[in-house]
Amino acid sequence: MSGLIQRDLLLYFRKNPKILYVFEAVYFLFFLFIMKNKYGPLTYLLLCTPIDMSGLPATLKEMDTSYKGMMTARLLPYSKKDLVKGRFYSAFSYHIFSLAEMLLFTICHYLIWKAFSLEIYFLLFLGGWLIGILLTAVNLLASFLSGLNATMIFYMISAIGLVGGYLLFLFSDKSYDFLNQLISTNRVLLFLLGIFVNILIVLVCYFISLKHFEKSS
Amino acid sequence: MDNILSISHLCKKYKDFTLDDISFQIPRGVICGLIGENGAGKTTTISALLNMVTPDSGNIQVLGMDHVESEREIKQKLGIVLDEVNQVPHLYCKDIDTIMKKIYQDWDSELFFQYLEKFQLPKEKKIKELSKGMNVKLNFAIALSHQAEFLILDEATSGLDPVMRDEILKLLQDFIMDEKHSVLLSTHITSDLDKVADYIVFMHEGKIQFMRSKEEIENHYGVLQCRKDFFEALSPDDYCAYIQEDFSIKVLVSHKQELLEHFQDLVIERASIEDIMLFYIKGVITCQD
Repeated sequence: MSGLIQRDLLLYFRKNPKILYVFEAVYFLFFLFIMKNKYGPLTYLLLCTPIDMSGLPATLKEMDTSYKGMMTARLLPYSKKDLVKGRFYSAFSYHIFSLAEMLLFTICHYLIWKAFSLEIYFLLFLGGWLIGILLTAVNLLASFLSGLNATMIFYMISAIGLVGGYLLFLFSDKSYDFLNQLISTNRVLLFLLGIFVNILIVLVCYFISLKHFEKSS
Repeated sequence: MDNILSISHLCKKYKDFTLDDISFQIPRGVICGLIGENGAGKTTTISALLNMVTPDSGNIQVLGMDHVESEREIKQKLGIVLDEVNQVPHLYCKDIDTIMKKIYQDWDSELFFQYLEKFQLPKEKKIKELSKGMNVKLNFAIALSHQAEFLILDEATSGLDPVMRDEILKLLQDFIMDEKHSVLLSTHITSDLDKVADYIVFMHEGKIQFMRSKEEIENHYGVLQCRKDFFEALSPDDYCAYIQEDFSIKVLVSHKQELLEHFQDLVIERASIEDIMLFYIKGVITCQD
């Protein structure tokens, strides 16, 4: 399985143009130093990195369709179940890189600006990751159930939906209440619920993808 | 004899094509050519044995194991080169080694880089910068670098120039030298099979027309060009198929030695694999195999 994961990750890194990493560094610095109020970490942790960390399924779908990537994978010593499982592992393994960026950002922002308490920073970090997991799972499902165009459109819709939701949240004056609520409500219960919903969605997406992939030939 | 591949009663029905009761075996230590016109069912048969197509019925044993239950173990021992199925173009040649050594238990990095050198493939080059022929060579380098026992090649040499093709054919002959390894070579370039194949499986319209050893083909088959009156004097047992031409008849004889004993002045030319294929597809078939 590690071979499949390494293959997927290497394909993803080789496919992405180097300029993309420059952009990532630019918006990391922008949200850290230019947008230094509390909306900096909110935007970076809850919006930018979840979109970035969920991009692998759509990119690999393009490889599968345009360059017979999945056909090549089918020739390797793996079962169909391995291939689906491998793709899920790869997509979530990529989160490690995004999580490292998020962690670095969180620590730097806390040390420089101290916009929130350490606990709130941690909750934003965790919340961003949960959104990333959710987006990744539904994009993986879309990549197994549909063709290249539908997968790309789905990825764009999920990203635009997240941006739209976030902007709505910002302009509805609810953000301040939300932050207050986050501080005052039972945060542990809230995040345990979030984790549970995420696990459930990932499992459902995995089993539907597997069923569909096994039936597809 | 120990068979490396055994296919029995394989059937697969599509809307406009049926793979109809395919059965054949490939022993160890041979190169088996799979021939047939486009759409004859060669690729579907290969896809079925690679578990990329689910058959409606039939049994496939590869290396003595069920092709579905033991898919992972089997594919560890298969070297596969398919037409137009190349590595993803964004990778570098050297990346293949990084990936494959984690995938194949018996991956031999040293051997892989030796093949890259032998085939003049720069390891620092991206796959998208390679020509079609270079991609084929890279696929062969991969197929031969993990101690495969059985090579499955589907139109694999079609992108190569004659010199490189000859080199690959030599590699295939070396590959089967130890009599444990085998090659299934599906190709339209029948001259390649004339050079190296030990057995020929001929498919036509989803069915196996025949499976013969090349020795048998060389010793028994021949092409006779004759006039109509001579053709009418022949017994239908003397020939397999014929093609009516404008002023003569071309006959595929299946017992050329016996015929030569009766008609000593007869000129019977050697029947190439291509000749036999053309007779079976374009001619009138008179014998049942």
